Amino acid sequence: MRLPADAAREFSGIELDRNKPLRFVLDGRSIEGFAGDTVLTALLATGTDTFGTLGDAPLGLGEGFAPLIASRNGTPLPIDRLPAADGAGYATIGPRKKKLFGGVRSLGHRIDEHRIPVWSGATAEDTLSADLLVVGGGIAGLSAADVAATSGKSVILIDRRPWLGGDARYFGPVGDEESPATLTVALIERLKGLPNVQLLTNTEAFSFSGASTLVHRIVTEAGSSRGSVVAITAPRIVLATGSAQRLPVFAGNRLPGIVSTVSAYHLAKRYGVCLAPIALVSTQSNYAYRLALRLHDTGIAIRRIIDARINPQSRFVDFAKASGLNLGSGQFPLTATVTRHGLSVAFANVGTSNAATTLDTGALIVSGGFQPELALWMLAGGSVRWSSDRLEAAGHLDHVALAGSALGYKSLQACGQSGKVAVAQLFGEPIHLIEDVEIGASFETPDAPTPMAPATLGTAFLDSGASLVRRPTSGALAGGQALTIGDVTASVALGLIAANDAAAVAEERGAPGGPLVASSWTPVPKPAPEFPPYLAGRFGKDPRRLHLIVDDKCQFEPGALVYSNLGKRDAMTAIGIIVAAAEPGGTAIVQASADTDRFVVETIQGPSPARIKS
Amino acid sequence: MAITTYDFAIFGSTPFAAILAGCLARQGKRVLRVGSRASPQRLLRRIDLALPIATRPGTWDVLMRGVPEIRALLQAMGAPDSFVPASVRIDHDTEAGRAFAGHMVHTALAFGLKPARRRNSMLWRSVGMVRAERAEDKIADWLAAAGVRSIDPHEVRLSFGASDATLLAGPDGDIAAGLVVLAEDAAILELPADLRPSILQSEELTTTLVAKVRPFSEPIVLFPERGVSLLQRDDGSVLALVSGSADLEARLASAFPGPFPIARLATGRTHHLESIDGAPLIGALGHAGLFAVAGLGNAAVFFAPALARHLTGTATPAEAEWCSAHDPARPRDDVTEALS
Repeated sequence: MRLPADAAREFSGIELDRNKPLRFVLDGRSIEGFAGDTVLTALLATGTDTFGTLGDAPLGLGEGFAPLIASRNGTPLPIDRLPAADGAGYATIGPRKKKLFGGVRSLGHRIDEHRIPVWSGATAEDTLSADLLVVGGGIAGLSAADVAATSGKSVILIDRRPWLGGDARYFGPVGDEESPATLTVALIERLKGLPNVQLLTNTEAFSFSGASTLVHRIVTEAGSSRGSVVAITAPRIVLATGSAQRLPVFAGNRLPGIVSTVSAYHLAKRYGVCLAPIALVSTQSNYAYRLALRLHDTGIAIRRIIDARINPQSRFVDFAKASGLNLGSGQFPLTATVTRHGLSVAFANVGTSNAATTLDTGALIVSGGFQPELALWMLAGGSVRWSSDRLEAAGHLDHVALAGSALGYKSLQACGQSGKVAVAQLFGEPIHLIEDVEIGASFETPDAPTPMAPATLGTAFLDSGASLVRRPTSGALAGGQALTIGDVTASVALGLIAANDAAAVAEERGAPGGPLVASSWTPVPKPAPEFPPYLAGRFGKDPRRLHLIVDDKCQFEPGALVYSNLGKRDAMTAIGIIVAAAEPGGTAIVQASADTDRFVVETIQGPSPARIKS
Repeated sequence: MAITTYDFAIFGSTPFAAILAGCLARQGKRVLRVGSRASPQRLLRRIDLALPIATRPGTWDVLMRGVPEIRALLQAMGAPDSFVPASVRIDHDTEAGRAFAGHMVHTALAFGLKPARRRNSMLWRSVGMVRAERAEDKIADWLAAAGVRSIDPHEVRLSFGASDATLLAGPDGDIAAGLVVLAEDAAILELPADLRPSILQSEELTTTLVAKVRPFSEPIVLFPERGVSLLQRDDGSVLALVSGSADLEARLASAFPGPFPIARLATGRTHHLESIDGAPLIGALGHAGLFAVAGLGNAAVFFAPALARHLTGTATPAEAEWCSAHDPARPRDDVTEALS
């Protein structure tokens, strides 16, 4: 649903121009939206929240898990990055069911396997170059670009999303920090005004090779969008790729209507979208209360906020209580099921495995911990290590530096500083200490680990991306599947991967490389040697070279063992071997000491008598 | 400080190292195994296959005796399903490779095997294969029952004293071992360069898991001249092992029939050892009490019982002769398996 144009807290959608409505056709159905929408947000706003089914399980649409679509005259494009265009006609790519789950709610896809993005094997159509490439347009990436550009370096900053600013606004300021909105908007405006900076949104890096980074861009000109692969040549790279919110693991955790707190925030803030007018919030962190309060202010009915922590303390908890929101604590989600009107969600008390509370809702907003997003770091050759409950970057790369929450920093100030430090590190300049200020545990209850249901009571996914790895009902994870870094982190929490193996598994699975493309490679031709080295010593010193025949037709294959016609025939007693075929017979090398002129040659067809050709 | 004494300290996390340790312990020796278990999600770095890329009858002789021993051992451990027959195709690209294949086929024929020969490939049916992941628990129990102490490599430090002695420091104090056997490439690679036999060269080993592809006619396909081995798993995905870094992508892709593109699910990189002459290396190194085994390739596990007997002086004359012939101190001409 679309939130009202006058929604509080700018939850009307800061990316939208409500004065410019638009309409496009997708898979034959008409979808309405506004200028500024992506195809995905327009779909979600008009009630299409289902990608399709995996087996019998319906799967929700969301950022990072949505089908590609083909425009009438363009290449396949991801709908979460594609600007909606008035009058456009699109068709989603992939197998679809005739009878759709959820009717108009679903795109009706039959999801059966992990798919390769069509551009991942493509070659670059264009080349850009700069002194520095910054990947990620959050506070750390913007700060890195700013400090580098200010010192005269040419900078290209890319972000896969259609907008810049990262996730900082979700968290808000800490203490007397400057507001993330104010800070990021100011940085963006400053960078836009610098001639040595290029800001490329809708641009996703997918391959590194030395100083060359391949990216997939969506470029929109005159209302028409197309995708292209561009090679960006930059000898130094800052990866400010942020952190990914982890998915709580419980049965039904990717049903339509379930969304993470960070995604729910961006949908509302950027696009004025909420999945339903009634929402239930499941959290283990204080920031979900902040989101729930803002949604409540826009008129969304917050059914309840249920916290996995017991009696958490936070200013946001106090505000929620003061606002009259219904709160629960010490419970985690156990199962979610689809009902006629939305979802039914069962919660268990911490330390138990039975449902204690069951609530109906339109949408379920779930909160999990944060895992530094290190896929590109690993793709560039970086290492990781397991540290208490997450994977962290390890090792050093000469031309690549991490920054921001990808490096584990939490506060806005520290993320910004780390962007500057990353640039200093890459350009060999003095490095300043980074101060990461957090609110003490005596003031606010720290986050709890990402909730994990104690048993599998239905289909439960380990992460929210496209890998679609499901929690096994028993035993180990299936080996033949891609694992994201989030899948690995969840697997460790569930005991599916040993903690001391997590880094190695993540490095193997997290940076598998691009798809294989056809190759006709063959080794350099090598002729057969007259006397192969592997025969050395087998038949004594100075073996005789004999031409053996059986008749005037039969040919002996190289490798056939030669025996005396009197002795037993096993490989250890062979007195010679055929080294070359001849017409007829074959050339053999035979022990010099062999006192016979009658032989048996063991051919593939069986033993054959042989004599020396006179 | 306490000193714990063992007859043998076996370094290695592979089934070969584990079974070598267990066989030694079953002969009454005090054995320490320095190795760890990998999570099932880690990529395999070898295919345990009773098919050496070898032409010399001595190698096949020892192998053919080892195969029923390993099968019986796994059965006795309670892991009979970890020994499975597999079909293998070996492709050759050059005339030298085809000549090698001819010699390999005829040697195998002499041992009762019946490989089929095509112009550019050999087909091997019912080759014994150890599915180590199915046997890991049972092997661990078997080692424990045999009295083998297992410790993680991170808990042990190997050093080399001025007195030419090999020293071990473990989690509970110093360890004295009559012989330290480096039964895994990773352990040999950690040796100081002057202790590593010059015949062994370190090569990058890339292991890649690709998404489900069309079924192969044989689930295992080896390309010795491209340095590529493929294993199609039950779910259709394919594990590829590529030795060496030159033209890696091109060599890897050349081994697949398509259709392309093929998604990669995982890639791991490590180093392994290859002998310059393609033959195994078995014997003492230039430091007292240090012994290495390398270059046995996919077939290593099937040589473990014979090597255990060799180390305890109970090998058959044929086994003893074969092991001694591969000693790094001996001339290599009589054991080389070099193509040309």
